[in-house]
This record gives sequence, C-alpha cells and structure tokens, in this order.
Amino acid sequence: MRSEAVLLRRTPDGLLLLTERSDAPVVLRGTGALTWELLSRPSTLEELAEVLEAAHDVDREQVVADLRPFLETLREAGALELTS
Amino acid sequence: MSIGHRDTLRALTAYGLSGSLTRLPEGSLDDDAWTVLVTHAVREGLQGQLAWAAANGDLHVTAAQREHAVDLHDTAMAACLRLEGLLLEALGALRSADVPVRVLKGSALAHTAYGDASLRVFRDIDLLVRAEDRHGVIAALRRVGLRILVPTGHGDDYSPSRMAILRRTDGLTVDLHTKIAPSRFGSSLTTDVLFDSDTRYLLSGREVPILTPEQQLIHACFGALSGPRPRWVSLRDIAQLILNTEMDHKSALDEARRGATTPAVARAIRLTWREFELADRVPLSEWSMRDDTDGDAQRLSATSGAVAGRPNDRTGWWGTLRRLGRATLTTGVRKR
Repeated sequence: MRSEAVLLRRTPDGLLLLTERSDAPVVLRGTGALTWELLSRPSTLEELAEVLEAAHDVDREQVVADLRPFLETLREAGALELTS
Repeated sequence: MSIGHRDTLRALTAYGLSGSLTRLPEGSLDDDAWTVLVTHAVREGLQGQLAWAAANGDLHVTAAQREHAVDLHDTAMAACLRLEGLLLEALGALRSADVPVRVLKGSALAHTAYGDASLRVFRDIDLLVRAEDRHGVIAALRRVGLRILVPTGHGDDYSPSRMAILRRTDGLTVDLHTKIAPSRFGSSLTTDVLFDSDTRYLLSGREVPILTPEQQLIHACFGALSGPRPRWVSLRDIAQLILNTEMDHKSALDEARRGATTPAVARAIRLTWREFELADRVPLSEWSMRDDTDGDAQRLSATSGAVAGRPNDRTGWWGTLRRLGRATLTTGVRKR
C-alpha cells in the first residue's frame, strides 16, 4: 500500500513523488503512474499484474517481472509499505 | 510585452479557472511568440497552466513546444516538492521549539485553494511568525540547516513585512514574515489575530497550520498590489480563494474592515474579475464593484497631480491609498 509520507504532484505525463528518504523526486510515467493509481487501495502483486496485463495486453510473467523491481524501488524510497 | 502577448499571458493565467471568458490564441505560436510566452510564463510562475494547456490541446503547440512546456513544469514541480520537504522539516523544528507559525502563500494555497496543486508554482517557503519569537525561530530553523541570508530587519519596498530570508546549502529558501499587510497601505491588521484560528491542511500525512481563507484572501490582495504592477499569480490566487474555497464572504469583508484593508482588497478583487473576465458574480466581487474607495483614490490622485499606478511614489496613488485605508477604518468601525 502507499505510504502516507509522500509528497506528490500530477504532471501531464505522469507523477512526481518525493519521500523523506529521497533527495530528488521519483518520476512516474505511463505504466508506473497507472500502477501508483492502482495502489490507492492496498493490492497484491498478483492483483496489480492482472490489471496491467489486461491494460497492456502483455504476458503476465513479463508484467510480474517488471513490477517486482519497480515496487521494490518505491518501497526502498519509502513510498510504499508492505502489509501482511 | 505587446498587447497581444499580454492578452495571451492573461488568458494563460486564467487557464482552467471556471467562469473565465478569456481565450488562449487559436492559432499556432511561432518560435518567437513561443519564446516570449515561455519567458513570461516562467517569470510569473505559470508553468502549470502552460504545461496543462499545451498537453490538453487548448494551446496550439508543436510536439517540441509541448515537450518543452512539460519539462519546465516537471522542473518547477520537483522544486516545489523539495520545498515542501523542507517545509515539513522546518515545521517539525518549530513545533519542537514550541514556536507558533502559519504557512503563507505557495504550498498553503496550492493545497487548499487550487483543485490541483500542480497549477500553483512557488519558489520559496513563506512563514508567518511573531516578531517577538525571532530568536527562537532562527535557532529552530538553524537545526534544519537554514542560515540567515539577509539579516533580520531587512525590508524593501515590496516586502517591508519580511523579518529575514534564510537559505540552506542546497539553495532552498525560507522567507520569514511578521505581517501579511504592509502598514504603508494604512493597514492596522495585527499579527496576533492571525494566530487565533486553527486552520490546517494535510501534507504528507502531517498537519500544516495556515491562515483562514479570509485571511489568505487579504494576504493575496496585498501580494497582487505590492509590486510595481499587479502580479498575475496573486490575481489567480484571489480568484481561487473566492471561487474554490468555503470562504465566508461576510467574514472576509469584516476581516478586511477590521484591518483597515478594504481599499486594497476591493481594488485587487475588482482587478481579478476584470482581468480574468469572470462571469460568476459572487458577494465579494459585487462588493468590490460597488466599493468606491478606489475611485476616490484615483480622484484624489488626479487632484494632487500624482501619477496613478506608481506605487512607490508615496505622495501619489500609494500614499493616497494609505490615507484612504486609515479613513476606511473609521467607516468600518461605524458600520459594525
């Protein structure tokens, strides 16, 4: 789920996020911005992958392979929190 | 700037403002016109309007111009986010030091008066503090890396209410203010009353103390009129505050009267409605059209031989407004 401690701005091509742990904003465009929108409610990796697979008509395994490092980057930046 | 460029900038400032009859140019912009527009838009802090208008197709631009506009906006938004990061640090330090503070202008307006914070660009953080808390404020802000850039007590023609400017090594700046209405306007608005309310907004999950919408309006009106010419972004702030917040118009007027600020507030609101060609009539805009204090100021300027529109000429329009401000205090008190 999204961390509450995120500073955010919309831009025409996506989103900018800044957290306490990062010096520079993270830029999210396209699928990255869509994934962030999907995370407005707590979601599992599989749930996210299912929506993105349908939206982009790509193989589920590929979606999951791309999603894992993306979500990890957001987590390390403090923008996401893992819940049980 | 030519009249054509001015009209374009005026329409750009009003972009996305409900009820505005201003129109962006229908034709495409050649390189020279684009350069002029971009230069003025950046100077006025209108990167949000420029980027969204270009991206939405409401400003007819080439792909390269669209990309340029979006890049400028990204850069401006990144700076705003970094400033908000500093703001949260500064508020934490001031809270720990038990120093009362109110956040003014940029971030506060972006999140409370604008439906989309990406439309409001700001270049620094503005904080209102009590003059007597000076030492505590400076000490607390030192703990988050801020150092005095311009010594305490500095004031210039446009910012006489400024206590100090502080800067961090990364270039981020905080302006400390002790007033929202310069006394040269004849204002008797005291700072203490601005700390009475408990208005807040949430930023990154934390509460940020700000002025009430009515007090923000008065501040924006002075912001609009405090330079050598009206500031476009402040006029937009005024429109946003009046049209997009839960402002109590009667309370706003009472607040303006209490602080003897009605001439400036009426003039700024009238200017906003005229420049943005706002179709919506609301109580404050109606009042500003009826209020004749500015008309009196112009007539007095004419009879004294002063040049209207030279705000630094204290014997002219500026000084007249100041005198009228004092006169209005009497009127306001009598009416109440």
